[in-house]
Amino acid sequence: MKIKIYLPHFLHRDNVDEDGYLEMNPGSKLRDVYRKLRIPVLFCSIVFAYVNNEKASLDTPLEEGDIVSFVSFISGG
Amino acid sequence: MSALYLLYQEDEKGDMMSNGYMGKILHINLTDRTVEERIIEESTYKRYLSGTGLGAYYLFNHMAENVDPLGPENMIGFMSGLLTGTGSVMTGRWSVVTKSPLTQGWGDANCGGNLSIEIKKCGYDGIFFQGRSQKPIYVHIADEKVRFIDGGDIWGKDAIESEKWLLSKYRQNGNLAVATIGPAGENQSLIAGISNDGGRYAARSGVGAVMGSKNLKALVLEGSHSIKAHNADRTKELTKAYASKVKKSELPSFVKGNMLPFMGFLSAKQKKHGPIDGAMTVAAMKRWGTISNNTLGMPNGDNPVKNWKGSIKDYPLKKYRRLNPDKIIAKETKKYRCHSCIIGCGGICDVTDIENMKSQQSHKPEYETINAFGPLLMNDDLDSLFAINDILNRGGMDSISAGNTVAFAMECFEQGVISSKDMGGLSLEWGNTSAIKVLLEQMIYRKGPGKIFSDGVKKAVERIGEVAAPYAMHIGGQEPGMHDPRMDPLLGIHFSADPTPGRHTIGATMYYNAMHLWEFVSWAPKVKAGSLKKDDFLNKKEVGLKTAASACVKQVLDGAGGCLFALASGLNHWPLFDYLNAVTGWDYTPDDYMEVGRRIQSLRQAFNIREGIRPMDNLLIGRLEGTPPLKEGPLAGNTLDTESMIKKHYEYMGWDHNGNPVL
Repeated sequence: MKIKIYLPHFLHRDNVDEDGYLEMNPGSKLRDVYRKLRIPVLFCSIVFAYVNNEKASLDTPLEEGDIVSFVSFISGG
Repeated sequence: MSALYLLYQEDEKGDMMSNGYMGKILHINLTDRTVEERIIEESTYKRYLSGTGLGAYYLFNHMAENVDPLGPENMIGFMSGLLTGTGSVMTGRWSVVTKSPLTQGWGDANCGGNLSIEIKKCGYDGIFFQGRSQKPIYVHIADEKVRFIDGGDIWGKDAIESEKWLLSKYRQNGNLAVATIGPAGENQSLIAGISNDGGRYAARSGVGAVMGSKNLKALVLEGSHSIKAHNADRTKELTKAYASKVKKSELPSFVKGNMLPFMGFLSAKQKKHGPIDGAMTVAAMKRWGTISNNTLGMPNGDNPVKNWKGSIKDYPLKKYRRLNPDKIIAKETKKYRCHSCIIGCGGICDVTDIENMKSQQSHKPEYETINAFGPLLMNDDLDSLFAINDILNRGGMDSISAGNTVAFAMECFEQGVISSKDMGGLSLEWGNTSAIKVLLEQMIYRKGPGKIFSDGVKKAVERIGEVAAPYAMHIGGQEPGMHDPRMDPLLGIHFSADPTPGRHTIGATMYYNAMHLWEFVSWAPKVKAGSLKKDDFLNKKEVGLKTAASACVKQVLDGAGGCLFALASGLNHWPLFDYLNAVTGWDYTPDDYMEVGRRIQSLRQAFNIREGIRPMDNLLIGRLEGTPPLKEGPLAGNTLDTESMIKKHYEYMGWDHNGNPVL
């Protein structure tokens, strides 16, 4: 199944296709996305994600077409 | 009050009171104290919206060419936004429009606070001043009733004290809003701004000097008109959906400010970028506001250092960790929200433990101020930054221009262009906080040797001599915001190509990646996940289209009175175009609104050309474009081909290669 991924500017994007999709096995959970994106466990405290703009945990199940958005920052003033 | 008259008789008259706008502006002549209401037809709103767009339309058509910006013929307009007060959220921003005494061309400045709603409640979309009062006054407007009141009681007071004085005099009448200048504006400093709500600033373009030149100390507004949306239910529905997303966007409590440098470091290491979910930027805005960039932006090179010639090598972690935003919000006693804001990036801080503060409470310093008086001056004393923020807010001076100017003075001192003797004993070494404060006071009050810096870097070079020119960081006379074009070429193009040069709020790569314009606008290029950052340094179609799209949507935003941080939360979440249709009853497509934005931007540009400004003279210069490139730090080796990239931007704006709009 395909999951739409929005990564913050501080993470690499090598496993995500140019439309921002990540191919996952059916039944995957959010923690599987972290694994596939090779986000170290230590980073989980600062790199966290919402699923379909709802708060999520690593055990949140994912479905085809879900949007996983990682926290991001924007500069300005 | 003189009679109403139609500006454009041929235009049809819309239902003024139920389309978001008020349908008229007020034109006040301070010389003879005459007041005219002028009807604005719906077709004008459809072409220029309100806010900056309506202001540009009005000044271009109703002000003589080549007026002295500090003379009586110049106009200054206080503009509300089309969406302000309509039940929409993040739409409480107002703008000031004028001919800039700093750049001698189009001038505008944008501010949050609480003035925008009060302009409309008085019954107007904009209030314009022309002429010059013989003596200092303030103008009080209660609905359509205009009074000219002797300003002797507040002339000479700082901006915060002036507002307090006016609030105490009129507060019993109910809600009111004040826009006022401080001593910098009274003294016609070309880098003076206009204060609202205790230190929110319409800071740029030298707008405060224009107010001072008219002997207009303050504008006091208290209105009772209602503002109606064409489709209030739809507007409410849009607001509810966005508010729900903002409410859910929270940083977990274990995320701390000391993690931000690490994220900045990782960001610097990435060679690629892609779209981000703008809604996910809201959480950090809610927690810290703009100051998350104090430390996040150091490792990736966004934050300029030592008058733009340094890097993180000069201002390393041991210094910039002192600007940890957690240390600032530790002083925050409550969040500050502009009108209709549901994010709350501002804050009110308890500053009782900081020396020499004139009050116990102060607005939280913004990132721009922190960086302009922190890393740019090699200053890492956080308490001094609170004090400097207060000096600027009270004095009424633009912190971006002032910071660049002090940095210029320090580099002149370092290079021996000016000496301690020249400065009356002031030793302008990098990071000397007591010298910075003294110099600022001299700049604000035009006293002592520091007065040569009162009008920004370009004027200072004229006073010191060309030997100082290499250290003067400006574009077209205006000092740049605290983000480095050598990290973000798109930002650099806007620094140069916007009719008010040096502005950091027109567009940038990160904003483009967050706002998802491509989901709505047929010609806005989609950002692919995994795009190479280095491609943004190339003179190519995609970059030109991105900067043109950013410039156009920014003008739509400023016409609507919208907040840049709402735009950054993504148009897929904050529905600017849907809001505009719901409020006005129009049936415009996003492409239609982008054409409105292009029209406004072209008019701002046409104003400059009419005033004799050659757009190609506003190219990034020297170190701002990386000539020569930095030798150290994350931006080492980066250089922009500014001229060719700007020509590409002009091409997609529909302008000729010299930047002349083809109207």
